[in-house]
Amino acid sequence: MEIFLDLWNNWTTLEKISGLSCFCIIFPLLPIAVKVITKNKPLSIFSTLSLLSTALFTLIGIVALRIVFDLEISHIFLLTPLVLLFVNILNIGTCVGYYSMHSKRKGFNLIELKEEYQKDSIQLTILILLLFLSLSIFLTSTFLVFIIFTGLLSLGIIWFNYALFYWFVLK
Amino acid sequence: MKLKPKFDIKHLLNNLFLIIATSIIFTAVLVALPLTEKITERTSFDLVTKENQYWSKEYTLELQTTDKKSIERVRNIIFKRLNKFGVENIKITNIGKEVREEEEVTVLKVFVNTTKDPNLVKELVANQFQIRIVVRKEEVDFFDEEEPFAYLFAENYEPTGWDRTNFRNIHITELKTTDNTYTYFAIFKPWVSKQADFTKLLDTYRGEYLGIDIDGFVSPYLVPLEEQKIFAVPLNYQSEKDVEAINILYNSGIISTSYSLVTEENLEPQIIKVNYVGISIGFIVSLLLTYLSLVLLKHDDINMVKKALLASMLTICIYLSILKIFNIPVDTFLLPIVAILTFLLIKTLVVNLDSVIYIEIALITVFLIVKIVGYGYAEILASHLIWLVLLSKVSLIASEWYLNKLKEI
Repeated sequence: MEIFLDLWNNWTTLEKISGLSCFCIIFPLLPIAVKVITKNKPLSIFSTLSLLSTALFTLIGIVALRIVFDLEISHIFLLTPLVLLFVNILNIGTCVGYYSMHSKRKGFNLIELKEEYQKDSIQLTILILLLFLSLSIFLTSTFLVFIIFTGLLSLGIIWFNYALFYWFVLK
Repeated sequence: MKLKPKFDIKHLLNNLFLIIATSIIFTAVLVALPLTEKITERTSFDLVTKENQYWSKEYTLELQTTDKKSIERVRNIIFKRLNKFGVENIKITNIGKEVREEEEVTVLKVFVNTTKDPNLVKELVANQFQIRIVVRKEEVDFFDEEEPFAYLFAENYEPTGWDRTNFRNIHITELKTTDNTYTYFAIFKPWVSKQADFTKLLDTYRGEYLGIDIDGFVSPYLVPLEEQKIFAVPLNYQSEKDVEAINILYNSGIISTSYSLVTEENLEPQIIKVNYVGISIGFIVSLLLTYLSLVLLKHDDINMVKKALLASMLTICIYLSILKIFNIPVDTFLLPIVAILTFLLIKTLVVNLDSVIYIEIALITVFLIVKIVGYGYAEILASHLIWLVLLSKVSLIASEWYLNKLKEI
């Protein structure tokens, strides 16, 4: 908690406003868009929780890096939320796109959506693993930590999303 | 029997377009590849990296106040100035109170790590930029040969009661001068409620000198004899960067607390060094391996793999070629992030045609928000990614067209 308070107190009001505005605009905007596109409440809840979990994963990840591994959090780690948001949009987007295109088709059921979503998640996992690992060979120091950290969090988010999907949409 | 040669113009044009497209792809790949600049000496295809341009400093400021609100206002305005100017990494820390000559002051440390012009960055940090409109004291003679620079000093002027708070905006623009050349002017735009009073002030001093006092130094302004609608003060700056900095100083908020720059300490610049050549090779290998594994595992249709692979290569190659050809400076550590995200995006879009429009709109919206509201490297990465999402779209369309045409041959 102390590192967040230190970070928070060191920020100027403008930095705080900027960070909060990004969060406050993007956070409601995406679930609203999901709700409008799919008209499905569980999917909207799923996307809300997914975005919240992204923020939570980032916070927990940074605390772990700082406390458990005693690593210095440099300015480059401010890019992690943006990368995670990107991965999250790809992940949720595939699910929402499939649902919106096929939900009115005769014989469509959520098991079909689950299978499609699972396939996309596996593909995204393979890609992330291969790309981040191949890149890691050529990196050192802070940037290597950043890449491994962001890659692992991305994988965590994809499969946490899958769990959320299972609990909130499928059940 | 006469033999009529069959001349299929459509087929010929298709082939011609295909050849042109192939050469464009090859050119883009060649220009984008690292070390291609060694092939020809005619044109420079060097990637302009920011790594060698970085410098880092810590400025110490002493504020003549201990009031928390005033301190925060100064921090905000300096941050706003530096951020608007594009300084990549800014940290402004309140060190606390100290006593100077029996007076309490607050010490602020302003840390910058940037590639921007050091002199202009210093100007943005060190200047309070308090603006007042003043009028010559009656007893002062500006034509006195013993004091030729008397007109420059604020003590030779009296306040008119007009300062920056009375103006909603100071617009910097190029205007034509009487000798038909262009020069930059600062146009003072008063609040609507103050417009009439300001016109009265200008009427009062028709044909006389007013002065613009900025932090104790005055630029004289001769109020024209005829009726004046705008108050445009000429600026002695010609370079665009100088004008950008002066515009930021005029329009980033009013610092009413006096402060001074006490020290400036050079620091080792914080550079994230990346082996650009190694990473490029790594990417090419990983991309080929990824797609090969997808084909071998029969996870994807071969046509999709071809399309995704071609579109990914095309997007990254065109992006790097644009950076190289137009000499756009780039942080090399952003390139691997950009490449990974582009590959992920293209692969996802190729496989999930149902989701293309939603994903593209969502990504562009999010990056636009971050670009507008964000700061530092997040803002820089967001701007790159907006262009890459658009470029991926074009590359996907071009790849599909190209592969279809290849099949027709």
